[in-house]
Amino acid sequence: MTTTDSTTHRRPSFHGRRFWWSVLAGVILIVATFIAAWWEAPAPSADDYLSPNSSREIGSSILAEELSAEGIEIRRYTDANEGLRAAGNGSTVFLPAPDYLTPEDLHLLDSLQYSDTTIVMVQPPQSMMVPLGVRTDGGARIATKTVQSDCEGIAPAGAVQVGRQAYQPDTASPYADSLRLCYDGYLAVQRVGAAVNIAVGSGDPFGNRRIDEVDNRRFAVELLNDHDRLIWIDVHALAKPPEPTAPSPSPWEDSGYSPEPVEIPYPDSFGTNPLYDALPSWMWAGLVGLLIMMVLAALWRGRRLGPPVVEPLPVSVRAAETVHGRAMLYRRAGAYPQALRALRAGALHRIRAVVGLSSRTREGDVVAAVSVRTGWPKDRVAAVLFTAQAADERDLLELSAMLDRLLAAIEDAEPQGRAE
Amino acid sequence: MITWRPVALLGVGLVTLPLWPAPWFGLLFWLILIAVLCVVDLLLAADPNRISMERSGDSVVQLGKSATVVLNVTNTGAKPLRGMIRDAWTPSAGADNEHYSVNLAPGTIARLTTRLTPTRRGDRHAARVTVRSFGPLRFADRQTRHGASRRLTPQWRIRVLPPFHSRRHLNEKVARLRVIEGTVSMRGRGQGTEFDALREYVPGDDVRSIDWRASARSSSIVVKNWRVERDRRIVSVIDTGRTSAVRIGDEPRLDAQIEACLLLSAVASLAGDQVDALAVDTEIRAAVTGGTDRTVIPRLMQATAPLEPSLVETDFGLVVSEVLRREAKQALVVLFTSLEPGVIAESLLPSLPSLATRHRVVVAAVSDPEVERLRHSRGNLQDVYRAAAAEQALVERRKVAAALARYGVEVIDEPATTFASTVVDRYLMLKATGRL
Repeated sequence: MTTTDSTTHRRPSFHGRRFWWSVLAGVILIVATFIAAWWEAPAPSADDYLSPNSSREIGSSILAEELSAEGIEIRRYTDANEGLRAAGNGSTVFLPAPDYLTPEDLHLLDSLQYSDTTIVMVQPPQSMMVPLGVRTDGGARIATKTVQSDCEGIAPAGAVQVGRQAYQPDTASPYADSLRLCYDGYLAVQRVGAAVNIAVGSGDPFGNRRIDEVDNRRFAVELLNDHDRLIWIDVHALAKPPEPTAPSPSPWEDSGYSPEPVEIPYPDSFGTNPLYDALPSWMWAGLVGLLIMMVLAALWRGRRLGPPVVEPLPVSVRAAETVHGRAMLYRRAGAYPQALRALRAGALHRIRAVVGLSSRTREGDVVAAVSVRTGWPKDRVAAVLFTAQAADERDLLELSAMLDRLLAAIEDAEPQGRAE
Repeated sequence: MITWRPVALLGVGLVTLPLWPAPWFGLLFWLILIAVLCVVDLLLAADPNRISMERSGDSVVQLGKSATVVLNVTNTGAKPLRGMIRDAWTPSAGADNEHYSVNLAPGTIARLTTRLTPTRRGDRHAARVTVRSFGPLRFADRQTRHGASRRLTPQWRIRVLPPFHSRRHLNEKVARLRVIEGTVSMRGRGQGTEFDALREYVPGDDVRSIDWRASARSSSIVVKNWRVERDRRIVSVIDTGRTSAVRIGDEPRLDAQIEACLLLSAVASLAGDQVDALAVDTEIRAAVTGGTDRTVIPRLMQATAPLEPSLVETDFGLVVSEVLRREAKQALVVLFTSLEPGVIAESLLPSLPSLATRHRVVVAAVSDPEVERLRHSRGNLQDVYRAAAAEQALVERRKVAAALARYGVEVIDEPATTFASTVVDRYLMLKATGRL
C-alpha cells in the first residue's frame, strides 16, 4: 500500500562543497602547470641568455672560459650582420637565439654555406630549417629531457639535456637524404658542401645553470671546438631597420609647384571596432535589448506554478514473464532435448484427454490407440511421441512440426467406433 | 517573478529604438521603466500567504466513476487577490482542471470545484495548492513558497474502490442460489442436507426422505423437508505477494482476485453465510470479519481498495495460522493465489495439512491466457522454445494442482474473464451438495 504523501519526499541536496573543492583543485593544477612551464622555459629575449659575458644562470660564461682555455678565439658580436660578415673559412658560428636574425642576416648565413664553417643553432625557427631539409617533430617539451647519444662520430657521445624540441627529416626537401639525426631526433646535423649546420633541440647544455649536469659540458665544448675561431652572435632582439636616408630633393622644387598636402585619415589605433561602425547603433542596442528580452522571457516561462507531482506507481510484472525468461534460457543454452521433452509432455497430456486414456497408460498402448485413431503407422507415432531424439535445433523444429501434425490428425479424426 | 507583460513592453520598446537620437539611452530608459513598473507592481500585489483554504466533497468513489471535491479559498488579507491557483493532485486521480484564476476581494470566498475521475484503484491524495498573486498592472507576481504552500494546503484523500465489474454475474448467481435453497419452485423441494421441517407426503417425493417414525405417530405418511445449510463461514484469502503483480490482460492479477472475492462474498452473504476476508503477503494487509448483514460488501470494498502487490514471497504459514486462529468452526477457505510451483511447494504444501483437516480449502488461481497463446506459437526457433517453455509451465501447474488435490484441496485455474463466475459456481456446487 502506498499511502505515503508524495509531497513529503525531499529533493536530494546538491553536494556543493565537494563540487567546488574539485573545481578549485583543477584550477590550482592548471595554474601550477603554467607557472612551471614559464619557469622552465628558456627566454632567448633576455640579454644574458647564453651570453659569453654573463655569469648568471642563463648566461654561458663557464662555457666561454672553457673554450678559451682550449685555445679557441671567441669573438662576441652584438650585431649579427657584423658577426656573420666576419665569419668565413675555418670558423664556428654559434647562434643561441636564431629567432632574432633579420632577412639580411639570413642571406649572409646562406652565403656561409659555401665555406668551411660550422653553424650551431639553438632551437632555430621553421624558416631557417626548411633549406636544411629538417622540420620540427611535434611541439616543444615543457621540461628538458636527458637523452643518450645514439650516433657515433657525428655528435659527441654521452647523456645530454637536449630533449626540448625534436626534429625529423622534411621529406619534401631535396636535402632530407643527407640529414643525420642524433639524440632521439633532438639534434639534427646537415652537411652542405664543406659547411656543417647543427640544430640543437635545447640551449640547456650551454647555460651556466646546467652545464655541470650529466655530460653537458663535454657536449657543448665538442660542438663548438671544430675551428679555432668562434663567432658568438649574442643578439637577443631584432635589429632596428636603418634610418631612412634624407629624401632626395623634389624635382619640382625649382619650378615653384608644390602640391597641396593631402590629409590622409588614419584610423585611430585605439578607436572603435570597424564591425561596430558598419551597423547603426540602434541595431546594436536592439540586439542587446533582444538578449535581455530573452532572459526576461526565460524568467517569465521558467517560474512554474507549483512543483510536479509524484505518482507512486504500483509494481507491475509483465504477463508470462517467467515463460519468456525460460524460453530465452533454453535458447541460450541450446537446450533442445529439454524443449522437446516439454513439448511431448504437453502433447501427450492433450492426446490422452482426446483419446480417452489415463495418465498411467503405458507408452505402447498410447501408440496403439493413436495409430488406430489416426491411421499413422505405429513406428512413426512412436518415433514422434517417444523415441526420436533431436540431434540439433533443426531436428527440434521438425519434430515440433510433426507433433503438431499428429495432434491435428487426432483432433480431426472421427472418434473410435464411429468410423466403422 | 515577472509575467509576460514586461517582456512584451520591452519588445515594443525595442521597436522604437531607431527613432531615438541615442539608442543606447533609449534602451536604458526602457529597462529602467520596466524595472520600476515591476517593482511597484510587486509591492502592490497581495500577499499570497494570507489566505485560508478548506476542502469538502466526496471521499470515496468507485473506479470508473467521478467525484467532485471543492476547495474553498478565503482571502484573509487586506488587499484584493488577483491571481492563479493550482490545486495539484496525483496524476492518477484524473483531475479535470488544476488551474483556476481567481479575483478575490478581502474577506470573500472562492469555491473551486475539481472533478476527479481516477484511473487506478487505491488512495489518491491532494498534493499541493500553489497560489500566485499578481499586482494591479499584472507585471509581476508573488507566489507561495514550497514550505508555505505545504502548510496552507488542506489535505484530502479520496479512496477509489474496486470497480466490481463482476457485479453483472450477481443476478444469475443469486437466481441459482434461490433454486438451490428451494425458495423458487423446482421439483417441489429444496436441495440440501439440513433438516427443515416435516410435512405430508405428496406423490413424487423421494421415498428416502420419508420419516417412518413420524409417520407411525401420524395418520398419514410424513416426509422430512430438507433445506440448504445456512450460517456457514466463508473465508477469502487474497495473496498480495509478488505473483499478484503479474499483469493478466490489462490489469494485475490482484484486481481479478479482488473482483472474484467481492462476487463470492456478495453471493455468500445473500445466502446467509458469514463472510470473512484476509489480504496477506508477509503480513496481514487487510482483514474484514464480516457477518451476514448488508454492510459486508461496502466494508470489503473499503478494505481491498488500497491493496497493492508487494514484491515479496507470500508467507502461507502466516495465512494458515491466521485462518486457524480466526475460524473455530469449519469453514470454506478460498485461497486467491497463483499456481506458482516455487511458492506453493515451499510455503503452502508444508502448512496445508493442518488447514485441510479443519476446513474445506479451495485454491483459486487466475491463469494467464498469454501462456496458452505462447504454447501455440510456431514459426522460428525462438517461438518453438517459447512454446516449450509454456508447455513446461503448464506441466508444472498441473503437478502443483495434483499435489494440492492429494490433500483434498480443490483447484480452480481459470482465465480472468471467467474467474469470478467459476469461483462462485464452485461455491454454489459445494453448497448444493452440502459439503460446506
